[in-house]
Amino acid sequence: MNRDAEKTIRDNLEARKGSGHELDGFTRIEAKVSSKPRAVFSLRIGADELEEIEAAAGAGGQNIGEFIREAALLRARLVTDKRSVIADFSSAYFTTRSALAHLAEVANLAGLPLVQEPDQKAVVRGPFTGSGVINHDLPVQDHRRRRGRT
Amino acid sequence: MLGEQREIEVEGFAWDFEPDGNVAHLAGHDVRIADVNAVLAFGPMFLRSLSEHAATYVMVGRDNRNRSLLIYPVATPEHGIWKPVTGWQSGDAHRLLQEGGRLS
Repeated sequence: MNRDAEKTIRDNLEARKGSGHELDGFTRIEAKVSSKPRAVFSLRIGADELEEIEAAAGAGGQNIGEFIREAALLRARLVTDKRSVIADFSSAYFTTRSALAHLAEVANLAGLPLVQEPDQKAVVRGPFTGSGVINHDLPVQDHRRRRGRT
Repeated sequence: MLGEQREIEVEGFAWDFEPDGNVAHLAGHDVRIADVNAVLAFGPMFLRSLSEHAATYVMVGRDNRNRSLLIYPVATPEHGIWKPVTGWQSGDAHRLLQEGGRLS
C-alpha cells in the first residue's frame, strides 16, 4: 500500500474521531498474535555506507539485517549498562557515605581517633564518569576538641 | 458482533521513521511505539469493517499508560506484519473494552 492510499484510509478513519461512531460497522474477529512480536522498519542510509556495512557483514558470514541488529543492540546495551553502572555507583556511594557518617558519629562519641578534616574531599574516577570531585559533608566532630574538653 | 473466527495473524508491526511516516503521525495523537506494543501485549480485541474495496482493521486495547486505544493497522506485503496508520485514545474503545469485561 502506498502512502497516498494510507493517507486516504487515515483521513477516513480520523473523520470519525471523537464522534462516538468510531467503531460503527466493525465486527469482532479473532487474531492469532505472536508471543514475541517483531518490528520492521526501513533505514535511510547512504549507498556507500550500505556497501561498507554489507562488506563487513559478509566478512563475518552475516546478512545485513543480522549485522545491523547485532551492532545496534551492542551499542544500545552499552548505553543501558553505562546508566546501570552509574546508578549502582551512586547507590553504593550514598550507602557508604551514610555508613561512614554513622561510624564517625559513634567514633566521635567514643573519642576514637577517627576524624575527617572539614575541607577534606574525595576524588572519584570511573570509566564512564571521567573524574570529578565530591564534597563530603559528613557530620564529623573534631574528637581532639572533644578530648580536650574531657 | 458476528461470530468469531481465526482471521488474521499478527506477528509484528511496521514502522516508518520518516517525517511523514506512521511513527510521527501516531506521535501527533500521543501514541508511541511502546504504547502500540503494550496494547498488543495486553491481549487486545480485533475488529474488521468490510467495504466494497477493502477491509479495515482496528485493534482495541489498553496501553501501559492505562488508556484505552484504537489502533488502525493495514496489511503489509510481509505476512503477519501490520502497519499502524493511525490511532488514538478513545471513549468508544473504552466502552467496548468495558462491555467485553476487559477492564478491571
